[in-house]
Amino acid sequence: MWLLACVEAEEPLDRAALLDPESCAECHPTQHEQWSGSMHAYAAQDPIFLAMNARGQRETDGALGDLCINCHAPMAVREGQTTDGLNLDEVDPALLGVTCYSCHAVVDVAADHNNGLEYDDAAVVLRGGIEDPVHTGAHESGQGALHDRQSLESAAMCGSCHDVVTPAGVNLERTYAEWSATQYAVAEDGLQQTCGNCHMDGADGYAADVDGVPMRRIHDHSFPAVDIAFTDFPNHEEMVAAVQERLDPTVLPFLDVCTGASGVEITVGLENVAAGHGFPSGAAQDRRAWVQVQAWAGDTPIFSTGEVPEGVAVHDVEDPDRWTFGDLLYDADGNKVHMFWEAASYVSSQLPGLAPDSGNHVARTWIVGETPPDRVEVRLFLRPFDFDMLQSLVDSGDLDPAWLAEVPTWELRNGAIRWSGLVEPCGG
Amino acid sequence: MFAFFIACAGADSAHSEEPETTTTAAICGDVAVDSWSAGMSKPGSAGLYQFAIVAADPAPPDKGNNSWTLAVTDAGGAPVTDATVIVTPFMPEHNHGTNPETVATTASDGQYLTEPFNLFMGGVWELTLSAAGSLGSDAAVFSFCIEG
Repeated sequence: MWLLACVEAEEPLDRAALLDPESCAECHPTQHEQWSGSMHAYAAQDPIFLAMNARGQRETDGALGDLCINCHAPMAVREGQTTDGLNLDEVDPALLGVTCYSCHAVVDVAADHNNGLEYDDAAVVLRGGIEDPVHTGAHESGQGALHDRQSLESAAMCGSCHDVVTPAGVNLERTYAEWSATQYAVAEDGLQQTCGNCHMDGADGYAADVDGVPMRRIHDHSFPAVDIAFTDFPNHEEMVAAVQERLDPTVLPFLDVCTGASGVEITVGLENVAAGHGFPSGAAQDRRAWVQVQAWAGDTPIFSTGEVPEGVAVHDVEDPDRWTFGDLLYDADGNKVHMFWEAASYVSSQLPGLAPDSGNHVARTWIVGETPPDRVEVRLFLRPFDFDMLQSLVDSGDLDPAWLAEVPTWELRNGAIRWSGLVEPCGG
Repeated sequence: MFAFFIACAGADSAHSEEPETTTTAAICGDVAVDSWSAGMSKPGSAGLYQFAIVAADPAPPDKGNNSWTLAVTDAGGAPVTDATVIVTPFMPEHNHGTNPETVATTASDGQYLTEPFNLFMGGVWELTLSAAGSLGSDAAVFSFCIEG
């Protein structure tokens, strides 16, 4: 009985079951377990999202509409259970987050931002990257380029929610556009890299825990990138480790110390080698990466920049030599703002991705005086959200200040470099 | 429906055991690479040494941390056990390596054990094995498609 039933379901899952990730868990336990700890599962529970959406709806008199929730819980919007994300406690929990159905039932991408994903609710086929899926009778199964991480087209499906344009026309999040400008978006031997190639690691395994399913190259569904859950959430330690592993090799550093006409020069170069988009990306207006440079002559510190205490925003530190990466938002009058609905423009200082026509290197030189250092250390840090934006949400009463303690500061460990020795003349 | 869900639990034994043959990853395309086999070897470009990858973990090499056991022999096939052996990973299509640039090894029972090194993205990786010993310096390049 049980083997027969695994080969073919007695009846196909109905629509409500297809929409519910818990239904998927029965036959796709590995994928469900990975997804359960992912930012896709967390998307509609994130206290920062909830705080920002609540404040944004209030301050725009609801003009934001479904801009946020349409990507943070797309099925809840499609099922008519919310229009603005302000009533999520009334929404069927099966519809919260970016669910299995949200991706696997997509049939087309109508827009490259703000969720232009299209579905065929009358003839649901759940698609993946496998060319010859085993048919179980639980649901129709198919393959499509949008769901095959070896296909460049698959990036368009991810990109539809990972690029965001505000009602004011600000290209707020541009991960897909950034990737599209890199070499990785070129269908050329050895260059092509899709979102799934980096954020969905491959492994030999089973796509479903169902009789007759062969071992194949499948891929991870935890989607590590830069964010982690602030709340008590499944697989937290695994996600922290996966994010750290993903971040560590992203940027390769270069360091040169020499004496020039104006004094000792410390030059730091950074090369974005492993992010197939800008660095940082996504909500780059909220993210902050920065370089820490420290130089000593013996035990005496002679130069320092980028020393940022925990709990203090990078831009709140008095540091004229500061070198940061991320976006800054400005309103129509040119004032710096933190909330995206206030923004009329942005200035980006992202580290670019590897592009055919432009370099992925940036460099900066500091003149640090006449005293030659005998030791210089460089480190690279990243916060997914910085404290100035978060404090603004606390001050407006939308964010519990207790969450501030959960903000991570990542160090990109391969971004560290040390120099020691005698300082030579520049160009020597 | 309930019967279906219950029935699927614990069906692992019904899976086939061997992975299906996979096509070459698009991220490597038609770029020529070496086929992995334990013990695969190549002569150095200077003709002084023969370099062998005795074992790899994981095998074949894969995305993420890798550890290799290497062997170096001279032109007569005698083990070279006193050389300084390093590995330099590089992605030629992307024009970048890793930090640190080179991977050190530790001599052990006539072989060389690498420190773990991170092939951090899919694509074609060249791994240059270099040895500096009493006969001089030599190097050989192994190339793998890391599917990811």
